[in-house]
Amino acid sequence: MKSNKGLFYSSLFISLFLLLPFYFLFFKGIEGHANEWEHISKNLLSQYVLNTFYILLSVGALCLIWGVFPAYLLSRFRFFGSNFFKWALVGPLAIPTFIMAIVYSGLTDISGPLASLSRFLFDSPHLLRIDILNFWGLSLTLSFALYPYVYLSSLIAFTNRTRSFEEAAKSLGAKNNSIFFRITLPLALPFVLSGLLLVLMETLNNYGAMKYYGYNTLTVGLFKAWFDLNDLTSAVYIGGILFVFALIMLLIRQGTHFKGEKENSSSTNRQKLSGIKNALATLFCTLLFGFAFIAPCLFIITKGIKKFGQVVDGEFFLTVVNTIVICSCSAILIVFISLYFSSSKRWLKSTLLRNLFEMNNTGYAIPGAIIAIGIVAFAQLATIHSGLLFWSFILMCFGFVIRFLSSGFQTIDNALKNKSIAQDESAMSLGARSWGVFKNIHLPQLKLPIIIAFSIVFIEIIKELPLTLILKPFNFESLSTLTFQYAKDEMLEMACVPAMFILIITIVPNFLIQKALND
Amino acid sequence: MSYLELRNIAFAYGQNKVIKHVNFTIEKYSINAIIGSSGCGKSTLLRLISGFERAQEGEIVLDQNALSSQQVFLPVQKRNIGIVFQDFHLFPHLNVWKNITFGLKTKNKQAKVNDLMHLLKIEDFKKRMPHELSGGQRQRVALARSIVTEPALLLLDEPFSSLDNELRKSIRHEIKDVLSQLKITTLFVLHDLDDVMALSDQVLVMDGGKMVQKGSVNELFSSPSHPKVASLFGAYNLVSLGKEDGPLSQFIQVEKGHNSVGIPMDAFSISKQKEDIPAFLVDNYFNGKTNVLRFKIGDLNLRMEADEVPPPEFRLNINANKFIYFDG
Repeated sequence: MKSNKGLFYSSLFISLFLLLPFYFLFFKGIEGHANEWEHISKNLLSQYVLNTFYILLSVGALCLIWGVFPAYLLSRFRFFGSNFFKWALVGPLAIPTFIMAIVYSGLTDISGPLASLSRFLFDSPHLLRIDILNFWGLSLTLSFALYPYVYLSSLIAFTNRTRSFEEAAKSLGAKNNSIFFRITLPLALPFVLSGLLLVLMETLNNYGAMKYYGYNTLTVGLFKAWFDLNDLTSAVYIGGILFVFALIMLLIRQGTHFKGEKENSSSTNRQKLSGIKNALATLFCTLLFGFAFIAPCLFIITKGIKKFGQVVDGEFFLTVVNTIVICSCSAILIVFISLYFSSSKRWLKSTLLRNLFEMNNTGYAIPGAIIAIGIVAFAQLATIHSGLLFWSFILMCFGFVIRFLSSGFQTIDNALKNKSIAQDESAMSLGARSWGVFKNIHLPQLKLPIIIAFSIVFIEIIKELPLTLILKPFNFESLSTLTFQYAKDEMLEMACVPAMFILIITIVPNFLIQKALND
Repeated sequence: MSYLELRNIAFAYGQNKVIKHVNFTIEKYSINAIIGSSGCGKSTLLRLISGFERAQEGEIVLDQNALSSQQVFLPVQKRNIGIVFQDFHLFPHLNVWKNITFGLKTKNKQAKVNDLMHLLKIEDFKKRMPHELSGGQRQRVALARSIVTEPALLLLDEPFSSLDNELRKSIRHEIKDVLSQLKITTLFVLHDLDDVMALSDQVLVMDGGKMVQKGSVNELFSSPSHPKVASLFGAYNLVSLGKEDGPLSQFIQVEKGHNSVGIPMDAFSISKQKEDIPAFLVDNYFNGKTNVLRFKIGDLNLRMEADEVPPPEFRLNINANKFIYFDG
């Protein structure tokens, strides 16, 4: 497109600017002095690495069970409640991981509902009580919060990607078991792994749940090095190891793509289950939905209502407003940048920009804590006073943009890619310039993707904890940091009030996504 | 004796009746084509024969064995029917060799697979992945995969739709040769008339979920019994008659009581007699053999063939003996 030098240089500038914290992180790592590194590497690091590896393994395995199995059931069979479970099983995505962990500790502690039930039935609080504050309890609660990523990607694969190939295999005489293992699973694998990758990234990024359960992973170690030992450079080193973990997972995912695959839906109806099979399928989905969504929601809402009066005051409402403002501003910024980058990619066909955008899009794979350290290093070198509210606010937005840009960009870019370039050419042949094409042709067609991108990013930001914890100014709280703060101070019931507000606020973007998808 | 027989087959998706009591038979080793406009139920019929859907009424019999009836429903895997899908559906994670041998129960048929690959000119691509093949090569691999299992019947659903014109011309002859050489009873779903003419021994024409006519290409060309057939085979002007015998009756006497009339292009001839019917030339083009004239008589838009292009206003004769009347 003509006269697009401005678009090129501005895109280049924004893209490089968003990568700035990583350069500073790199230089901090090279130049900084790590006072505590010897102690950390000798006494703690191997435990951090092993613990991280084990928790990734266990959460990943559990999410595969909770995600793949119901996705297969719901894509292939009709049973009692199957239409409801198809969308309901996505529900736990609305609950932040660390809140799920906190809630389960509340559900199973000595004053929780399980102990009360046990007391009522057996006159002892211990018979039905399960000790959940351990590795397996942590794995289970994290898997309840994170399995929807695997479930959604598997459901898409089983519904749209594998059916026609299964039909081809059937026509060649293959039996159902053989088809599942030779066709369905290998073809669905890249999608399942995409979902699993998100689960593992979230687990890697998790601080709140690990800290609460006293499980020392690399992310917890990073926080300890910085805040307890006051050694930013060691924190950067730990961040580097975290990054290697993330990189290995990304590379595994890259290696499982099949070229030439395309969307392939088929009109074959779902098979109706009856009798015991119908009951078992319904039971499995009910239990999963009950444990991962209903139980935590009920706990949060009942405790939240109980402690409402003690927590909600003028300051609390300020926290709610702060949270909504920062989430909205960051999400709007991400939508703008996504639109800008998608248009640049479409019109400029520049390999340099394309590669830079790819780098900008790896933010989701980088734990929030690393991004936050990079931003702090950047702020120090740029002599920005991060303690000031205004600058902190800007830096937090900056952090959220870096971490969640890919969620917005993928949605908008995919939608724009589907619009034929002939539309642009027709408009240009009628005298429109770049801005005119964007404003009059693209923008009206991108309304739904923009709503979806905004809503997804808003939900992601409101759930984010480590980045907010590091970048928030003194005396500033968001709903997620407040929840974490109460929980850390053993005020579990109070923690349910801000948690309840997070659930309530995310109803709006969730509704917008559902509505946009239905439209 | 008929080899494949469909008796009174009916099928609906919910309330939407897609197949409405279809009957037809095809002979062993014959090559057949189903043709009709989009949404007329062609592909659904293929899914019923292959067993991906179950007919709500009627019976499907192959080589005297019931595949589907009210009592019997043989699953896809047990029908021994080969299918070439519209988009080929080659397994993207398996190479060409593994795709072709996927359906073989025993792996000791290497020589046979090699012969088939040689016949289809794909023997050099054994190790290639599907995405490394051209459209024509993919088509051949899909065909090889379906016929290596020696199917009792081969179904091909719009197999040429994703190929360009030049490629489809060459490949359809090659496919016909292979099918004839291997003696495979075949049923195509097609929408291109050239493909139908080049491939089929018998053509089945569908319209609105019904089978409206079947016969050889010649029979359908020369004596269509349904307006859809006349319109598909293209050499006819279809004119509605209605209650008042329509606008045509102003110029020529037509039989009463029919819904429409098919006027073959050769029913018109240019005349120099002033008392003949006045016509107005709208447009003309050369179709490679002769001139096709688009003209008007009154409000009627019609077509005819002529060696020479007449002036804008001309006179013509109509031979009403060549008219074919339709009641459907």
